[in-house]
This record gives sequence, C-alpha cells and structure tokens, in this order.
Amino acid sequence: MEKLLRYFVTLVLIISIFSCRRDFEKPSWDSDIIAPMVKSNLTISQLVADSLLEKNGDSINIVMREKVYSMGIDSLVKLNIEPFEKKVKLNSLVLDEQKITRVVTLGEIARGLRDNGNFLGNFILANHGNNFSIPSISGISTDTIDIDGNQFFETAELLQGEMIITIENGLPLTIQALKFNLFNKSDKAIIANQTFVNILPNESITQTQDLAGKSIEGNMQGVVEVEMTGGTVVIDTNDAISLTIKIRDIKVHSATAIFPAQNVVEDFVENPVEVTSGMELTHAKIASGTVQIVVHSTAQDTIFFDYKIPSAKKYGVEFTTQTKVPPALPGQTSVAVFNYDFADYELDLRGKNLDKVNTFYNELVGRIDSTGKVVYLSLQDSFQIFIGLIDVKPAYIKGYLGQDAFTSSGSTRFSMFNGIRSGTLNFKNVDIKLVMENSYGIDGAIRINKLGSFNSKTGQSQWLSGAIIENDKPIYPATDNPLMATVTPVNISREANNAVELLNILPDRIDYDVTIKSNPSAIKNHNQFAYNTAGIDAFIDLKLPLSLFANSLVLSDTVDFLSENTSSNSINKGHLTLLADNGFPMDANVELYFMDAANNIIDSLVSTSYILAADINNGYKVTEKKFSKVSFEVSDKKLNNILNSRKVITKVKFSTVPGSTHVNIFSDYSLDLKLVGDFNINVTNIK
Amino acid sequence: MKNLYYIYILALVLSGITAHAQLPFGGNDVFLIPQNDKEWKGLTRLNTDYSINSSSISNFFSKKLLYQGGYISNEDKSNVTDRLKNRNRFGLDLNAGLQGLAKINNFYLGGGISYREHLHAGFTQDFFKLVFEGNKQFAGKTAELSPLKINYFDYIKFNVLGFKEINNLKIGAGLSYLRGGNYNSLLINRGALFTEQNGSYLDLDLDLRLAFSERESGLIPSSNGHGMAADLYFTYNLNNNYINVQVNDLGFINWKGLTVVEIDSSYHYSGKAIDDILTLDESVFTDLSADSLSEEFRVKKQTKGLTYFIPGNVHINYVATISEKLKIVAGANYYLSAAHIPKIYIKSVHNLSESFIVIPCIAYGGYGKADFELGAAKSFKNKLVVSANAFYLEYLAIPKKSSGHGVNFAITKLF
Repeated sequence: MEKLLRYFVTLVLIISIFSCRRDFEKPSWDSDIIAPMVKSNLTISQLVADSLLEKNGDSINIVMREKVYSMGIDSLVKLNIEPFEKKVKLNSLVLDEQKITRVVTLGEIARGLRDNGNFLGNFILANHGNNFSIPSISGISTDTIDIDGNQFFETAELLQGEMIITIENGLPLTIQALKFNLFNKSDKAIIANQTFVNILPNESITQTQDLAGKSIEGNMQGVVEVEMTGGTVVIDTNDAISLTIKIRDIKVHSATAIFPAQNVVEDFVENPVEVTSGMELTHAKIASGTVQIVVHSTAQDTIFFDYKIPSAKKYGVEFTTQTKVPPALPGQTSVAVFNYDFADYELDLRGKNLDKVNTFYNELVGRIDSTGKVVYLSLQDSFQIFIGLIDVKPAYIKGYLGQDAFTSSGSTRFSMFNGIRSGTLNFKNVDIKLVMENSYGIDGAIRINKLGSFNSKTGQSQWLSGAIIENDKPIYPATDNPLMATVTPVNISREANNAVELLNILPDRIDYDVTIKSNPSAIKNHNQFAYNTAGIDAFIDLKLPLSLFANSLVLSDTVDFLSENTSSNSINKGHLTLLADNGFPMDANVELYFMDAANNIIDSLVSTSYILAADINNGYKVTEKKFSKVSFEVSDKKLNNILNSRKVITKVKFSTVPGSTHVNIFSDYSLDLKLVGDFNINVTNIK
Repeated sequence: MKNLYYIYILALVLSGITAHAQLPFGGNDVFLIPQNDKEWKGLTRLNTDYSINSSSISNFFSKKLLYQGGYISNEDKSNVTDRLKNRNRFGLDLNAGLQGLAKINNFYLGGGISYREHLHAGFTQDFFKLVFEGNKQFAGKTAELSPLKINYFDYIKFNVLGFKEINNLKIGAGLSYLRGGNYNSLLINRGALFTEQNGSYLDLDLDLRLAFSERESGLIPSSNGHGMAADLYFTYNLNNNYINVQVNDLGFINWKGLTVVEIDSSYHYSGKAIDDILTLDESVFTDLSADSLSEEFRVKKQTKGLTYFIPGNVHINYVATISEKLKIVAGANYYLSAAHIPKIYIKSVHNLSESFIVIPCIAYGGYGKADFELGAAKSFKNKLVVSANAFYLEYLAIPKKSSGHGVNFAITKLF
C-alpha cells in the first residue's frame, strides 16, 4: 500500500509537470495582409454640401446665401416711457360729523349764584322739593364748563364747517335769554358765541355757528348766562338745561384727529411716450420691461395707492396695482419702491379718448383708511411719486413708423471658398442677387453704395460697378395676421458690369455699404407695424452654374484624427493604396499631413502619382470613369508617427482637363475611392 | 515459452490500457517481463509519453508555435511551406498513467488512472499560408481553407479491464469513465477566401464551427464534460507467433458549457463605407475590429454542449519470434476521425542480454511520414523493468526540416 501511494504521488507529480507548464513567450510571425480599409463614393454632394446644390436637369448649380446686413426692431424703434413724477399735496381732509352734549342743572346754576354772593342761590338749594316762588332772574352765569372733544380730534384748523348748538330747556321756567360762549381751553380763543331767547320750559332752540377759519381744540370750555322769568314752581335742583354741540361739514387744513377713510390724492393723467423721431405709435405690445413706482410721503398715516393703466391690458385685464406707503415720522419722509413686470401687456397709445398718438393714460389714487387712531395730517403733507417704465422692449408696435434712413457698412465673411488654399478657379457665369427680406409692415428702399469682394490670401479685390450702384431699390412692406415677409430681389449680375469677377478671385470676404430707408414716400400710414422677432435682412444670393475650369486648385481641410497614441507594434511596414474610379473631368492629387498635439507636422503621405481625370467627349461630358492607383509607402517609423498624430491635414489639388476650358459638372458624376492597406504585420498568437 | 507468451500478451494489454497513444505500440518493458506468469501475481506500471508529429510542420516550427514561443522567421515558415501538400496533418499526444493488474486464477483484472492531452489538425496548404504568411500572396486568387479540422482536448480516464484465455485465443475488454477537461475545436467544412488583385475587396465563403471551453489550468482542471469509452483486446497464438488486435478508447465525452461560434455565410468585404474619405479619423483604424467584422459575418455565437467522439485507436500487429534473441514486430495503427492516416511500422527486438534489450523501429504514416525510433529496456531481478523509447530520431539530425519528436518512459513493478 505504501508503495502504491509512492507510485500515485509520482504520477501526480508527472501530471503536474505537464499541467503546470510555464507560460512560454508567445509565438509571433510576420504576415503580409492586403485588405480594403475604407471606401467612399464622392459625388458633388460630398464635395459641396447638399444645401448648396441645386439640380437643373443633369446640370448642377451651386447656390449660396450670405447675410450681409440685418436690421432688428431695436435699431428701428425706440419705445421709451420716461419716468414721470407726480408731486402732490393732500387734496382735502375731512372729519366726520361730531356731537357733544352737556347738561347744566338747576343745582349747578344755584351754586353759581351762591358762589357769586347771590342769596337766591341759597334759597333754591334750600327749597329743593318745595313749592317756591321764584322771581325773575337775570345775570345768572354758570361756572366755566369743560367740553371734551378729544375723542374726535385734538386740534384742527378748519377750512370750513359749522357748529350746530341746541339748547333744550328742562327747567320749569321760561328762559328769556341764554348766552353760550365756547372757547378753546388753552388760549381762550372764541369758537362760538350764541344767544338764545325765549325758550319755553321743555322746549329747545337750535342755532348754527360758522367755524370756517377757526382753530379748535379737543379741550374746550363754555360759559352759559341765563335770564329767566319768575314764577311759583316746585323746586327740583336736578332740572337742567341740555346743551348739544354738533360739528359737521368739516374740512380741515390740518388736524390731529381720527380721520375717516377718504381719498387724499386723485390724479388721472395722460403721459407721453418717447419714440423714435417721426413715429406716431398707436399700439405696442411689451416684450419685457418693468413698471416702477417710487413714493416719498410726509404723511404721518399709511397712504394706500391704487395705480392703474387702463390702456395697458394683458389677456384683456388692465394693469392695476395696489400699494401702500407706511406713515412718515414727524418731519421725515417715508419712501417705498415697487416693481411690477410689464411683459406681455398691450398698450393703447392713443390716450384716454383714443384720439392721440404716443400717449398712454394712467390713474393714480391715494387714500387713507380709518384706523381709529389720532394722527396729524395736513394739507401741506405731500407725496412725491415717480412712475417709470424701466427697460421697456417692444414685441410689437403699430402706427406710423416714421421716415428714416440707416446707412450701414461693414464686412462679412464669405465661406464658399474657404477650403481652397491655392490655385485658380474660373466660373463661366454667375447669378448674384441682393435679396431683401422685409418682415416690417413698412415701405422702404435700399441703395447699394458699395459692394466688393476680397481674397485675403492673394490680396485681390474687386468692386462692383454698374447701374446697380447708388440707385434706390424699393423694399415692399410685409403683411400682418399672419405675418408674411416680402422678398425683394435685386438682380446684381444683371445690373452690374462685373459680377462674375467678384467670385473668380475666390473671395473670403464681402464688403458692403448700403443705405436702407423707411417710408421714403413720407405718406403717413398708421397701419404700419413691426415685430421684435422680425427685421429687415439683406442677403447676397449666389447661383453658380458648375461650368468652370480649375488649375491646381488646392482644397485643404484640417480634421481631428486620433484621440490618443495608438500602438503600431503589430504593423511593420507597408503601403496604403488609394484606388480611385474617377468620374470627374479633373485630376486630383491627394496629400495627407499629420500633426501632433502642438500642431507640428510630424509626417506626411505624399505620392508622385495622382487620380486621373475622366475622359470627356466633344460635348465636354465624361464618357466613363477612369481607374487610378495612388500608392503611399508606409514605413514602420512613418506608421508610428501617423498613429501618434492628433490631426490630419488633407490637401487635394484639382485641375480640370482639358485646362483653361470650362467644363460642366453634372449631378451623376462621382468618384469612387477606396483605401487599401497592404501591410506586413506581426502576428502574436493568441494563447 | 508459454509463460513468455502470456506475459507478452499482458504487456500488450497493459500498453493498451495505460494510454491511448502509445506510439509505437506498447512500451518496450513488455519484452522483459518474466515469461512465467507464475513468478508474479500482479503488477503496477507507470507510463508517460509525449509525441508530436506532422506531415509538413517542422519540429522547429511546432516547438515555437506550441510551447517554446518566440519569433517564427520566414525561413522557419519556408521549411514548412516547402513540404506542404494539399492536405496536411499534425498531431500531439501527451499521456501519463498508473495502472495495476492482478491475476485471479485464469482471469486477469486490472484498472488505473491516466491523463491524456491530445491535439490533431488536418489542414490545407492554403490555410497554413494564409494564417502564417497572409493573404497578399493570394491577390487575384482564392485560398482554399477547407477542409480544416483542429481538435484539442484533455481528459482524465478511470478504467477497469479484464481478459481471459480461451484455447489459443485471448480476449478481453475494458470500460472507462472519462472526465473531460479543456476542449477546443475548429471545423471548416467549406472555406474559401478570394483576394482581389489590388486588395479592393475580399470574398469569404465560410461554413465554420468553433467550439471552446473556458481554459482551465492547474494540477487538476475543473471538469467540462463527462464520457465513457470501451476497449477490446484480441490475441491469437499461431505457433508462438501472435496476431494482436486492439480497439482502444471507443467512446465519447459530452462537453458542456462550450462557447460555440458558427458561421455559414458568404461575405463580400470591400472596406468600411464612410461619408468622406478625405476626412480621415481614427475610426479608419479602430472600426476594423473583430467585433465589427463578426457582425458583418453574421456570426452565430452561443453557449451549449457538444458530444464529441474521441479519436478511438485501432491497432493490429503481428509478432514473429525469430529466435530467443530476436523478434520482429509488424503492425498498423490508426486513430479514427483524427486527421490521421494508418501508421505502419516494423521493429525488431534484440535481446542483448537476458535483462537488456534494444528495439529499433521504422514507421510510416500517422501524423507524419517516415520515422525512425529507438527503444531500450532493462530488467532488474525480474521484479522491476525500466524502459524508454525515443520517437522520430531524424529530429536529432535535422530539427528544422524534420517533423516529430517524442519520448516514452515506463516503469513496471512485479509482485
């Protein structure tokens, strides 16, 4: 058994030797691989963007539009409502009707007589309840009676008002005469001095005292003098004369009082809207803007403001806001600022009676509420109110938009030939139009003062000449509801002498100097309009029939290539071969330049051979494609450089064949390209 | 003499049960096991062998490709391509086993455990050239890739056997459980690659099945399948000359969880279409990936089980006893369905002493062509026999141009 175990162990060891064979170096070998990598069929659609191509039968036109000028509503319209200030004092201050009742008893009168040494006083007081014969009495005067009006006001300077004084005789004797003097307690200034005569027992008499111009205080005093007829009566010292004082129709200049709720400011006005000179706007819709109200108040009560712009409506609802300004401290000013979004409001700029322009109507009401508190208010109190429409941008305006002229000059990049690095390209003819797209409901005109093309690489320039220069061309108005822009083309190539020359220098820049006029006829039409989303745009439209000849025309483009270093360990050397079936009547030579991350050219693929032009017949049309083989040798070093590059510059040099003869490019022309890799690669066996 | 005969038969049987690819047939130790079977009641035998051979692939090439690694030069490849025929073969066998046998009256009962690693390949000349030299040489031509068969697998075998003598006839049988390890298979039933003259397109017509298990390594790899196999033995005594017939490893393994890739399509590849070839970017390189190509090829990839009939072996030989010091053995050996052709051989057994023999052999066929072998065995007190055999001796003389190399080593202990 022991031996068997030894054998088994030995067997396991042998198996383990085979099973745990060490990982040897991977085998590798070189292999020659030839295979297509990428292919492409280039039609004129690939060489020129589809958006630039227009087929005309088999023929092709390159069409292109470059915007050279654009005018928006901001440059056309100024819609500014300057902040306007309202500085007002309180229009009026009223006080509620007040009523004070004071009773003077017979006892009070008797005590007054006694105190003045009149013995009759003693008799009256001594005979309370007795039947007593009283002689005629004159010169009876009460002591000074306090009348307290503080529950209504502390002080008031009255502009108007009247005091209604009612004397009710509760004594058993007829009052032949009663004098009532009412005066302020502090300065004894007379408020009222009235005499009432022949007041029968249990009857009353009322007399009115005008209070205009008087200053009254809450603490008042009065004195009553009475003359009575004599008679035998039962003495009751509680019998009394009732004195009722009612103050009404009071308007004060100032008062320290409990004021009732009342409007203190009412201001309904029209304000002008500042617009571009000559414009007469009737309507506007606000795209953005803010209504700002700033209030300075000296009033020592909370002032409530209702501000409305009845001519501004949003979804049919007027612009209305209610604010309040807190009370100012005595001698100080309270300030409050309020901002309201004014976007999307439609403004009627015809004023309150819809008979004006550039005017908006607004209403301001200031009021106080009854708080039950005593405050001081004066008609001298003032409110300084600033109302402004801040940063108002119109979305739409309507009205007569005025007569104006805008001259604009500048440059615009012309990208059509951007890819061309060198060589010449000659077009047979060209159709150039200056196209005005007017989205404003306004008549206009354009005048081309100057129009030129420039090639910054060669320094060549060409200025347009002919009848087109400095001649007004009409711009017709757009229509509204719905908005339909009008397009007014101006045929430059027809009215200019040298339109095709502008393009044959392969420009990369267009310089322009144009004047655009609005309402050149000066006839006022208040149905003109403008939207902020629209404008007047000027374009140059090109239509280039692809009939051309090219001589060593180099198109170049730089594109991103590899994003990171790529291993080239597997490829030793080889060739990249470009197989071309060319259906274009032009030779093409392809060169590739590879750049590192710092845009340094680190290698290139250049071939002495090139893609041959297809043959053409007598009608200058290609009969069949021509096959070419362009080979690029790729050493291991070159391949390593390529795989470590970040960008590649592609240069393709075209020359039409035959040279200096315009050949037509047709839509069915195409170039089949295929890149074939022919590499000696190192294969590492997969283990 | 009679005992010697039994021992000889026993040795033949053992050689069959110990492994599957005893190339050549059996170990040389069988000729030195005591002739009288009464001298022993049982034995154990430890056997290992490794061999590799091909009709075209040189030793130098196969060593680098399979286990030495390193750069395979064009000269190395030329030494192979010069010998390539339309159909080519390659085979590898690695075996190790421990067996035991006990005699119970007239019946012999045995069993053991063994490990087998096997690779065989049948391939076309074009396939080899395409893989190792590339397709450029086929520009304007078609490379024929089929038929192609490559199978590589390993398993551990647990077996029992018994045999019995009936007059001059001895017959026996064995049954094995096979524990499958790694399995890799590539079959191309139809395969042709046309390369356009300028390389502008490739036409590939392919009916392919690739199956492989997750590669396992270690002392005892995990099992990827289970199977069974049967062995049959037949010996007929013809006046001390013997006719032996063996059928080994007639069985299968049911592999599970294999990744199976199947392609049956024709594909025209003319490059990746791009909108603008003049604006190259890295996709020119990165998009030519195996994944993208597999999509183009409409590859069907799935995980499933496969039943694989392992290459059974049929071995026939005739042993002629010329004298006490010389025997001549002639036979043929064939692996079923394994890119194999029958290997015929003749060898002589020279008793230089009672305990030491040398056995030269000449053979033709199998995975290779003509081969020379030399074996030797030594007996120690008739209780322990040690033997060794070197296959394909031409390897020693011309390793770069010869195919095949291998050794066999066995120790037999008698009880």
